[in-house]
Amino acid sequence: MIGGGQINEEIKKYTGADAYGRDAMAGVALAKEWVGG
Amino acid sequence: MAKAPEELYQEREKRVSDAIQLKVPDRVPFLPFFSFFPAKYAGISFKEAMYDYDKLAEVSKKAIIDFQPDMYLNPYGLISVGPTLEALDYKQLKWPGHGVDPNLTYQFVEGEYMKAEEYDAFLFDPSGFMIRTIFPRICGILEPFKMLPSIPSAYYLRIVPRVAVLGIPEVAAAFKRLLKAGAEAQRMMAEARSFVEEMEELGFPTQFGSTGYAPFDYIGDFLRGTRGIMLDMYRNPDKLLEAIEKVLPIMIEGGVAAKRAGIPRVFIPLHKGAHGFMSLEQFNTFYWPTLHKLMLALIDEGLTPCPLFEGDYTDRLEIIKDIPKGKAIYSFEHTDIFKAKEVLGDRVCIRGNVPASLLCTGTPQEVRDYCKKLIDVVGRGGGFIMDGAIGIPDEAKPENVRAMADFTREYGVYH
Repeated sequence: MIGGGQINEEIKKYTGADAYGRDAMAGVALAKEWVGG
Repeated sequence: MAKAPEELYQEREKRVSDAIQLKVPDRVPFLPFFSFFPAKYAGISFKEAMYDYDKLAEVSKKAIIDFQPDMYLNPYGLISVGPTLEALDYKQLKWPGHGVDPNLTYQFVEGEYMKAEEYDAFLFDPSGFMIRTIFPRICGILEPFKMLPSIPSAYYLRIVPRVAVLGIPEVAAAFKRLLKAGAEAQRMMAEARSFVEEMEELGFPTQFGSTGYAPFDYIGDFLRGTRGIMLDMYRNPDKLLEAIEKVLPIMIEGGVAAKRAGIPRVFIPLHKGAHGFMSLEQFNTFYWPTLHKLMLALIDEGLTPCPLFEGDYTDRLEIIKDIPKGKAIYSFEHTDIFKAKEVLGDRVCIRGNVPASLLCTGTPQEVRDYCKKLIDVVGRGGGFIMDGAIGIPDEAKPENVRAMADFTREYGVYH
């Protein structure tokens, strides 16, 4: 998982990440989804 | 027959001015906001660009001639500040070769340069507070300025003991070093002026005559720090609002300097008003009112405010729409620029927003595809200027910048 204000779909593909979030809260939402919390 | 530089200069001015006034120009203007890209493109280090005035002129000229922007960004104000900052022992920034790798861009040093309990001191006398409290914190050589007396206290014969402070060896030494920094800055400014003249002779106008700042960002970036000002919105809202109002005339005065420069466009980079930093209610309370007043004051002076909305403002487009028609340029980064065209298209010229990721990692064809969409949708009927989302990234592939430039010149023609 990668994150930050500059991240978008292209950077996700370029880095081979599974998912990205624009801010910390998006990261929390993703993590919850992944661990099913 | 090739056009004379003066003719090209006038054509470029008119192209941009038509876009600002929401008329249909002959074609979409191309205004790339370069930072260290010309240095990288021409093969010198970022550090050299920051310290060597001649080399900076050389690489900037090369990029301007190779990519033919309709207007260029004078590189001196943002790049060749190394020698003067060094002379000041400046602390609010790390730069290439000074705290940062010689080939990386500069880095702002976040900090609480003004404490929460110092609002009253700032509000009482911003100049005195700046000179005696902030300068000693942000410039190593001005550390002794904290010994300086309050200026208004030097009345009548009290002027003698107050002036005596200047005779204290540390204070005297600080002034001497400050004079040196001043001489260095003068050298740099002279180079900057001669660069403008040289580009004018080649037919290229410059983008901005001065820079302004949203009063909230002034307090948040330079004095309180991001953390400090975010807390102040909850803990100290009244003082914060007072300080923002106090800063407004200072920002107007700085922006109006563009008139003396004879270049009517005022650059206003915006930092903390985005969706990711504050709610709509906070935006309406703390950020927008003074930014709005700043832009209206500049427009009243016959100037063109050019705010760069860094981050995402999609949910606040209706608010920022409140601006006289055809009098400003709004640059967008992550804001949905197509939505921006829908909301703002009949009000204000839009500039942007080829993503940094695309310019750094994409192919020329992908860049052309994105530019096509921008020209087709945002460029429809005029009122659009092509640029990167946050200017041209230092690491952009030259072939992508070329694709952007050439495609805009060819496909961006209005029929």
